[in-house]
Amino acid sequence: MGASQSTESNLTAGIQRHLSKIVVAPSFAASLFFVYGFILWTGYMAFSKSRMLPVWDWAGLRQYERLWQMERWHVAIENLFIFGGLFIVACLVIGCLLAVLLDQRIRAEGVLRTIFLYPMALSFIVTGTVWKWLLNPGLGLESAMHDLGWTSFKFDWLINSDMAIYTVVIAAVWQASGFVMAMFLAALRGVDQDIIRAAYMDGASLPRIYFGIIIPSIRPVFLSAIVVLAHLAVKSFDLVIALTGGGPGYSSDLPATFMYTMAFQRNQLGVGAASAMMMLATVMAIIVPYLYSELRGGKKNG
Amino acid sequence: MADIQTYSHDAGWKNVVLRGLLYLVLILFALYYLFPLIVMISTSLKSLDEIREGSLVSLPRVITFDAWNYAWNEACVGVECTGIKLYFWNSVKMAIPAVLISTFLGAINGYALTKFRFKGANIVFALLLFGCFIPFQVVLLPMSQVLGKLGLASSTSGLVMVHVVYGLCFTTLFFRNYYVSIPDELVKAATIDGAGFFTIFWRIILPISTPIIVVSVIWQFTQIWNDFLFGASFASGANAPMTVALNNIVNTTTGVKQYNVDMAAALLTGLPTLLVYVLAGKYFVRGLTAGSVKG
Amino acid sequence: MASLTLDKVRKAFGPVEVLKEINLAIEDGEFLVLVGPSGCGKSTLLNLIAGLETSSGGEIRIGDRVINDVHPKDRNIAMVFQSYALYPNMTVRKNITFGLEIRGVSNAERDKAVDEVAKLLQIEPLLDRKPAQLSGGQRQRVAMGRALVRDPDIFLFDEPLSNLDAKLRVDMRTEIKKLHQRLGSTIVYVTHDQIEAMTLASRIAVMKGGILQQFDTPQNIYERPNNMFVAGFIGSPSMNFIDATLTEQNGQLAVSIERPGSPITLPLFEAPESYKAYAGKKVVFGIRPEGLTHKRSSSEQNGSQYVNFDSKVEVIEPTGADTMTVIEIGGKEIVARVRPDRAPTPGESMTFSADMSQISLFDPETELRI
Repeated sequence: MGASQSTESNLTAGIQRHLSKIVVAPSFAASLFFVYGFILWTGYMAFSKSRMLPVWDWAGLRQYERLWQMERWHVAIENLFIFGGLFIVACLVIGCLLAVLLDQRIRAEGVLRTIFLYPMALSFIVTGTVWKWLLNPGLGLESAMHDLGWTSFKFDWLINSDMAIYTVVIAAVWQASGFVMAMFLAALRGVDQDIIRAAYMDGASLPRIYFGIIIPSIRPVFLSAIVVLAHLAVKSFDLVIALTGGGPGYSSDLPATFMYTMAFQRNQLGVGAASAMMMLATVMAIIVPYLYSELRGGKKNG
Repeated sequence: MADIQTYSHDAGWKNVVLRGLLYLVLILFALYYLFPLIVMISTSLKSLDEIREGSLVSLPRVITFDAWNYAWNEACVGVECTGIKLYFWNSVKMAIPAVLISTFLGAINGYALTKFRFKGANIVFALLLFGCFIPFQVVLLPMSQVLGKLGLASSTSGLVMVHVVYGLCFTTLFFRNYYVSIPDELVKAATIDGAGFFTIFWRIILPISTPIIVVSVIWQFTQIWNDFLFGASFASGANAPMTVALNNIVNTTTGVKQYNVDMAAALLTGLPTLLVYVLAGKYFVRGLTAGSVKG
Repeated sequence: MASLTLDKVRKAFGPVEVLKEINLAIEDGEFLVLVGPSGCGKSTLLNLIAGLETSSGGEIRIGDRVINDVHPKDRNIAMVFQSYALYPNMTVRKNITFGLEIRGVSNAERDKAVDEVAKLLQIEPLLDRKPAQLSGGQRQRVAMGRALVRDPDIFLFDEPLSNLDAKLRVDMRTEIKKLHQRLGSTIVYVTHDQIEAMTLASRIAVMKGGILQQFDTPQNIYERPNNMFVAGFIGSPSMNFIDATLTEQNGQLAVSIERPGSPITLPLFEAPESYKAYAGKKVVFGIRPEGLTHKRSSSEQNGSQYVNFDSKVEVIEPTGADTMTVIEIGGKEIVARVRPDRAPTPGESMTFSADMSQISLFDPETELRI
């Protein structure tokens, strides 16, 4: 009696089991093609003779050599270090400070949190546009200060090749520091209250409690925040385009804008691809160890 | 929470001074974050003459919506002078399908990867997840070629596809982490009740996914609406999304620089995501933490 | 209603064998309890019966039907889960009728069925609530209602009471027993609580490490445990184990326990044949606390075989009905159950009576019952 019924339900059971795979398959295939396939594609292009049009002739490391001989690429890399370093440090300091301050049973905490965090919802293009206006040497902050009577005030970073990259830092910190604050605040709220109570009973002062106990115990959040911010810094593109356009000249170029310019405006597909691979390598160097430690740590805890 | 009130050894006036200082610092920071928004709004409501005469920080003497009107209906993007409204609708037409499709795919992926685990499900998930972290510059060149071959170059549907493909990893991550915390017994009970893969998904799993759907929709909408890189790379001219159009308006070098129009256009571009954030921001945080409660 | 047979059922996850050749058979209307410590494989076995996992070998039959490859929904079973697994988005009514709806039962019949079950379980006022609005006990009832409404061949219970507080657990236990008596349904019930197993089961299967240790009626398992594990697992406080030697003098077998001073010798009046082979050898002497009491007068002896010995009292633990008295014999702590009015004070020496008709002897090597 069982025979026919069991083959039939074997079939349905089989389909049921495979449904799960069938459902994931399109996304997985898309990821294989559009992520991994494209990375290989770009990787290959970086070894090809491609200039205006993609060609498949092997050129070895020529494109990488050309990339590293370009003054503009060195500027972009240097800018990435300046921008990334200042951006991360400033966001961490402001974010941590704001989180600790907001953690003091503030009356209007909800409103303040919303105000600190709203820039994160904006497009970098919008941020770039407004800061470009604020930092405009003729009509922006500079003239506002002059009107207030501070006539010697000079703020022309936006059109100063040595300083333009710092305007990008200012705008980026304005946009992202609230987000870091939110990360820290969530972590502070997760600290075991009994530890704080115990420290208080032991006679520790409030700063001691923060610096000795609370902040060390949320160290993992610092790491997460640094990884998120570093990732954001490497990918930064829109803000530079909207705020400085990479200029004056190419003085505020970042690798992301460099790649875009080479690939879409200068007909240097090979160099563009090589720079994109350099960016990928940088991000991987940050992300992979982090993910590895996170996943391994998660397994240990779970 | 460790606060001065509970854990301060000093009583009385010293405490009051400290708290006063605390509020002062917080208010100064609030002003720092609000200042650009205030300037943006006030500038957009001024006439060009007033901008030239007056100061950045002064409020408009005469409020005029001319700049808003001009930005919406007449501003020139490249050679087209149709206002930013065309590009607003481009962004809407791009964002809505892309958000819905990527969220749906993320939901069903997350469901399959957690509740009907197959051999290698973890590896599939890890490989999908990797896509969240790549700098998109690395896919720009091949993507522009593929879009060209598919006949989707410079089209809204092309952008929808791009955003779905690169948004998938995030939505799958959200839903997977949420579904991991939903007890497997629910699926077992439904299986014994006779429900299959899709019935369980539609009737039981999806109805209890509201918090994470909200997270996914907010995240994807913000990402897609605010995107500039893909928009600038794959959609030029009349099909460009709003961010690209805004950048064009602002960086036009011809004619008189209309700062008030720039600000109005920037506000129009920022408004949708800002609204989503103000109205639904708290559900975003709540939804993100909802998954980890039981985890 | 149906019988259930497991024939050499195996389950392995890769190289790890979690169930080794389980053989079990229960009749229609029996209440089988699978009991054992966590990780013993009892839940896996239940999942195999439910069809939520597939077996690696052997045969599972409901009635005469082999169900190894039958989809859970076609097995005609219903299951109550530890976390209740109520669908959070549905009302109680919907929760109960969901399975019927999937099976295409008409609206009218569904309503009728849900009303009957709600009445039986006294959850009528809850029908329009969502699970989040229910207490633990109420959720438990709804979960049972969801199973009952289907009128299945076999009910499966997966630790259904372990999320309830102690008082409610006892009440629900009684309720499940009453329900079983009323409906006469076949039930397979998983628990790690040996009291639940004893009170509910018509037959108990004790498991450990994926191996079926003993499958018998509660009384037999209690009185004649197959091995030291079963003896120690069932019963609270658990059975005392004392290293001893089986001696023979003039054809009279006795359990002899070493201790400083004089050894304790407990003669066995009605020794089974199997004991003879162990004469002169080491054995493990097992006696339950209630077999070890204060000195009985000869009038209290009716039928039992009491042997007296003296020992110093270490600790006493009153429980109200009895006083657990801890003594030390052969380097081990031994619990005796003493009537409160006969309870000693710690440090005092007193005379205990051992009821030799209720003892077990085990082989120290194999740990099996002799």
